[in-house]
Amino acid sequence: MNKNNFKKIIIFFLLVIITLIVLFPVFWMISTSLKTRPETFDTPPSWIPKKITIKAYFDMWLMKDFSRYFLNTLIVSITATILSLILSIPASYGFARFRFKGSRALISLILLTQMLPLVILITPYFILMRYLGLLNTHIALILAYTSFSLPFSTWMLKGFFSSIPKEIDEAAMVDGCSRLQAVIKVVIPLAVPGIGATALFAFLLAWNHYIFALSLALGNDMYTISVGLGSMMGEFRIAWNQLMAAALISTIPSIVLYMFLEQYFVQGLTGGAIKG
Amino acid sequence: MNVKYDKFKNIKRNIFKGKNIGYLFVLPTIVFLLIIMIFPLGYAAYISFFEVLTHMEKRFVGFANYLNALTSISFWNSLYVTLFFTVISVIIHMIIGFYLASMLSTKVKGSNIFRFLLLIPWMVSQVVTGVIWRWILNAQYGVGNDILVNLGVIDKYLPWLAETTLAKISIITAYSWQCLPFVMIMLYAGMQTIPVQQYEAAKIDGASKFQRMIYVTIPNLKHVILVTSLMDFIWAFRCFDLPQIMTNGGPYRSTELLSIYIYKNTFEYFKFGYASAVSILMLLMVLTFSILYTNKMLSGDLNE
Repeated sequence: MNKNNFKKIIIFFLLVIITLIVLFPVFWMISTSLKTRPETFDTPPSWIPKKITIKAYFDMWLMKDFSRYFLNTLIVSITATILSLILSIPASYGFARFRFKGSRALISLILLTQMLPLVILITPYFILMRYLGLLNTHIALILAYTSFSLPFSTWMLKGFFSSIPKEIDEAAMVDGCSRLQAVIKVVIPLAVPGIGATALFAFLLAWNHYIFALSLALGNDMYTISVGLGSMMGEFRIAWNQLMAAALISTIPSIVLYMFLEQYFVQGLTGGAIKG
Repeated sequence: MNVKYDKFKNIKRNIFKGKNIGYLFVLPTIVFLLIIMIFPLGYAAYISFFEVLTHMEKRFVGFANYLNALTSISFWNSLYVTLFFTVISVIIHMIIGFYLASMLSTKVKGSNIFRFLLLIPWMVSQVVTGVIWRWILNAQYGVGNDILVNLGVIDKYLPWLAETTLAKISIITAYSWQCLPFVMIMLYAGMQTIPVQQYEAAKIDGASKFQRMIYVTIPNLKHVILVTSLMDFIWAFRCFDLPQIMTNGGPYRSTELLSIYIYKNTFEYFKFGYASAVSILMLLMVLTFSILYTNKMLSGDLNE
């Protein structure tokens, strides 16, 4: 008994140390964002800001075009998510309920597209969007974002629809609903939690996305947060406190979502792999 | 007279009845994916046989772009950097992830809180991760140098992002910080499914701790380990955001991953044909692993 307890105490302290190390970069981001700009260049750097100020947050928001970047990211992420859901809800229902000829091939293809390196799409996208006159528009970003958000939503929703028993649709149809009515009136209401979770994750994917925005949003007016952060890295003397403030604010949606949906999140992450 | 029409009606009824109604549900998504994914990929394959001269003009060059790629040092350098980055990352993730998962599995006090906190980096985007780590590893003002000097690990400040070997170490470290939690949680979830009786039986048979790991834990986790390492491998192989932010391929192309190589050829050198050829080569490489992964994921799924 003693030996076992001793082992547990050791592991506990190891975990405390590891957790502190792992969270240090996040702490450092917060600490830097609360410093004045001259203090960020102190050597050795101070861990806790000598003079805590939230000036960096105001500067970032007012002086740089970050409010614009936030707006762009919001517009593109929300529209791409809605578009993906409109298409993926029927598709995932179809895949969950029917074994038609080629259904396995098609769902494999959808899973496969999720694994593709997105970078191979930037050259054709750039040429095609330029041809269509869509470069540097929200539409170009929304279409490009759908290329990863649609396969993701379809795959995730398919899991939720599969977990709703088939008998429920059948019962509704026996009661005189058509297939479509059964889906709209009975199945979708049951799948609302799953649809909500999928929407949130698809939104986050889009919110954090970088490469398509970097390739297709060419002007400052179309930048997303990620591109804005990236472009700040290129400045001559980087305002690290403002950069960290912007980085922190852009991370808040993910962290908040994670806090409330941790269970869903872990299940979604591990579900497919553990089941098999 | 109406035979033909009836036949057509029959066909129509057959297509949209029973299980074939499934086609109607999935059709819009498939069409959309054809337009925004398959068509652009096909276009990339097409353009890879051309030299794009100006806005509208292009010249057919056959396999010249592919030959140029396969005979250029910069392409092979990128492939080497990518494989180095990928293989080292996956090995680090699997080993450390395995130990972290085992530690979490011992169910010490507050292990749920540890799991929650250790997963936070996975929620930070790669762009933000790159930005934070570039600041930590800043040669003059970075806190990384300060900590390492105080701990006595190094005796003077190092230019982490400006020296070829250090830059490789830096991007792998930052990437692992962000990605390791994923591997950890997958292995942890896998470990929760192993029946305790197996460990007890092994213990009674006199198996040491190490033997229990080799003969009980790892065989039970075979599937999870395979799927996780495949996913991790594919993700690292296509990684772009974080290294682009941290080093943008430099110094001296030492961190120029294939993804960054393609990006630069498109947007810095405007060699669209060449970039497309490299893209297609990269696609072929990833496809092998992706198909393996897809089969693994679906093997349990569709036989239900």
